[in-house]
Amino acid sequence: MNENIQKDVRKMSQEYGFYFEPEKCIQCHACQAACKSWRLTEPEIDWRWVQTVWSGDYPDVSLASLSISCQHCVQPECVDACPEDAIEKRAEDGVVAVDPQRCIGCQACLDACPFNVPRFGADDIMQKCDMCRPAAEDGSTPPACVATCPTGALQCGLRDVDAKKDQEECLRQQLACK
Amino acid sequence: VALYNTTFEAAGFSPLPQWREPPESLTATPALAKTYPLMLSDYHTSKVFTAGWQRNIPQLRAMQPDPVLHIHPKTAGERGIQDGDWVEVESPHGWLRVRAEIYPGIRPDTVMMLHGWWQGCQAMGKDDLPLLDGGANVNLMYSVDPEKAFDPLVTAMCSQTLVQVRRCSEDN
Repeated sequence: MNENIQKDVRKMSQEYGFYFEPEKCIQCHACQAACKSWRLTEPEIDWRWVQTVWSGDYPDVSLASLSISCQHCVQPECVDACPEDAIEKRAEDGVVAVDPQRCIGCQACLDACPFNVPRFGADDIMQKCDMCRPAAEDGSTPPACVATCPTGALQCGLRDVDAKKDQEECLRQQLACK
Repeated sequence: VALYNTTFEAAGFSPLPQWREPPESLTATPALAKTYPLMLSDYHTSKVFTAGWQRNIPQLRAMQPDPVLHIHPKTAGERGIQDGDWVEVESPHGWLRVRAEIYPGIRPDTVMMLHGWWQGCQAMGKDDLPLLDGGANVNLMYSVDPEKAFDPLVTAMCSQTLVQVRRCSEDN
């Protein structure tokens, strides 16, 4: 188990989150495929995807991988942007959850999200990663993407809020330089 | 590992690997390179597909909806090509219509694509691709000159040629 992930009793400064180690990712897309096949999303709808980020100039060029889904941000901008209060930062576990009964499909959350996460399928209602919770009620059953990752590059569990915030900022910068 | 192949030698072939020019290349055919200034080859390994099939599976096709040409940003920029643009790839033997993928890790004088594109994907409303000109069947781009394109000990033709790349529309 990754040292950055803890599965003990949640402390006040902790909430559930993903943790991704790019140097372990082999770009097999198994996380993406597992999400699609376990959660039965429509073909064009990805709740998780793998993105590449290049740096340097040929021939001194390098490629980094990013496995991206909803970051379940500590302070989610989508929650504030939603005019219908359909998105909730859940107090009990930190998951950012959408209420499909309240969502009107206005896509304001998509404009607000720094990671381009919200998806709109045939029903025009916002959908995205829910961290496979509450199926993984006690955290002992990992989300489909994490359970499938063959190299352990993707982890999920209780994380310190400050570490989660740093990770969000890091991802913002990586996506901005793409 | 038998580096020195005595069976080849007994049959009159070179017992060691030998290098020779492909039928078309920047150095073998410099005059042709004025019209077709880029090298094209193809790869057979994909993140989501096996060889020339499985394009019909929507979960896989969604990850790579269209055939792409890996092209260096400088090479693309000189041709007004942006990431995701449809491009026409023309060799002395045929032409393809694929999407450009700006790929900083490729040599600026080379473009590459995945082989084996023909199958459609009904669930995503994607038709089969033409097998000849205007599709994405990279095999038709190469020379089949019996004197130059084949090695006597290998059945496959030399998968390298020279091409020009220009922007086009999806339908032309």
